[in-house]
Amino acid sequence: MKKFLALVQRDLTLVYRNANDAWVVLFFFVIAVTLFPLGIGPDPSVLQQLSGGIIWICALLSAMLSLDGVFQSDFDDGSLDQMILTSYPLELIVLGKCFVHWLTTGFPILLISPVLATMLNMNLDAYTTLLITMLLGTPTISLMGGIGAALVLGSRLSGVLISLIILPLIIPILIFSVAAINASGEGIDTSSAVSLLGALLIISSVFCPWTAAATLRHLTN
Amino acid sequence: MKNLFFGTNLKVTKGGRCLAKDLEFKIESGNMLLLNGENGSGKSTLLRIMAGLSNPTSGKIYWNNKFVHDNLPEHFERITYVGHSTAIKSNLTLKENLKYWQEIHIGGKDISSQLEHSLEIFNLTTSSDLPARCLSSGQTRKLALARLMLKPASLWLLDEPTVGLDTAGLRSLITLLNNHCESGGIVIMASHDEVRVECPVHVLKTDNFKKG
Repeated sequence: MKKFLALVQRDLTLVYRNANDAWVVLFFFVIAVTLFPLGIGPDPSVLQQLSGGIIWICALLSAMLSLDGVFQSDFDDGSLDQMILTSYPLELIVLGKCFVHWLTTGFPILLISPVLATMLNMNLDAYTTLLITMLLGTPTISLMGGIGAALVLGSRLSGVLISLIILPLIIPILIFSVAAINASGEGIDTSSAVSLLGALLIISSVFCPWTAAATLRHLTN
Repeated sequence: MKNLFFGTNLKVTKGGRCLAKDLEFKIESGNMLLLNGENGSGKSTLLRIMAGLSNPTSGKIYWNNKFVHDNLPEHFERITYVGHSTAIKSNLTLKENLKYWQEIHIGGKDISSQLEHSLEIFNLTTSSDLPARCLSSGQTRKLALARLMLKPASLWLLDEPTVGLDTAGLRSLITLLNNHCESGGIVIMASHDEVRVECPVHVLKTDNFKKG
């Protein structure tokens, strides 16, 4: 556990010293969402209907911006070799890296999403569901993204490539989240969609670090 | 206790190209194995195989008659590998770099005096709170080598450790190698430079195992 904390602390220090990467994601999210009212017109009822979808699609796209860097610098400078060469499980190291990715991109997006929801005239009843779906969905994106980040290591168009690999995989998150947000806006029960999101998070927190670690081991072979 | 590290019938390939085959090596406690050979003759790949980072295309490596690739975590405990890439984060200070490495490899045991000592040996104490990006390439190499002091490993695998080192740095490295071999450790090193150590040195010429 102490090793895990040391790893998380080191990665957070690195993000903090290189804070631009995290800010870029957040600003991209804000700007992308802001474009929608400008593009489709200021009609409050139309915006209300689309608000859940807009916020979630923009969240997915902005998460893609930083995913390719999760292992890149460690791969470039040889740290990845040293990480494999510890007796500490690589799976947990990967989990730590995904956690830091979430904490520095997914979590800020979660925090600012209610503000943007106000701008899109989201139904007041849907705010709680928005936050819950964000809380369950964004960590799943970081975990699944970890696999993609491991797969595209060393390739030239890694940023674009990772979107092509990961976006289709996280479509279920988009579907269930937006369904839950829309349902709660209409006062319908959302528990089934939310439970499915929870299930996705649990499954991916078990399988994704394992898959990504296997990919990394294979890559350094 | 005497340790014996050896490999038999090794085939080294990189990118589908065979670099060496039927390669054998054997080394025991207190000795140093020097890998020699042209550029691209498979020295680094062989070191990665010895470290357990890569699998040999064929052949096996043993530590005290136990097959290394069967229990890699145990093998990782006993080695320190310093490769081409220094694994140094330019945005962390020298101390932070070493401290992280120490924590992840040997756990949270507080041996900060050891850390100070390892910086001192390579004359890096004055810059210990600077970010590593301020270091010259020779100093970065020294910082990577300073890690050798931090983990009680019995097998050192060094890939061209002398590149960029100044005379003082080279002297410190040789002292480290001598002490390590004297206390029963094993050193396997790929190098083009002449390294004068006091322990028995065996030379493995990778060119001799070229295909064909």
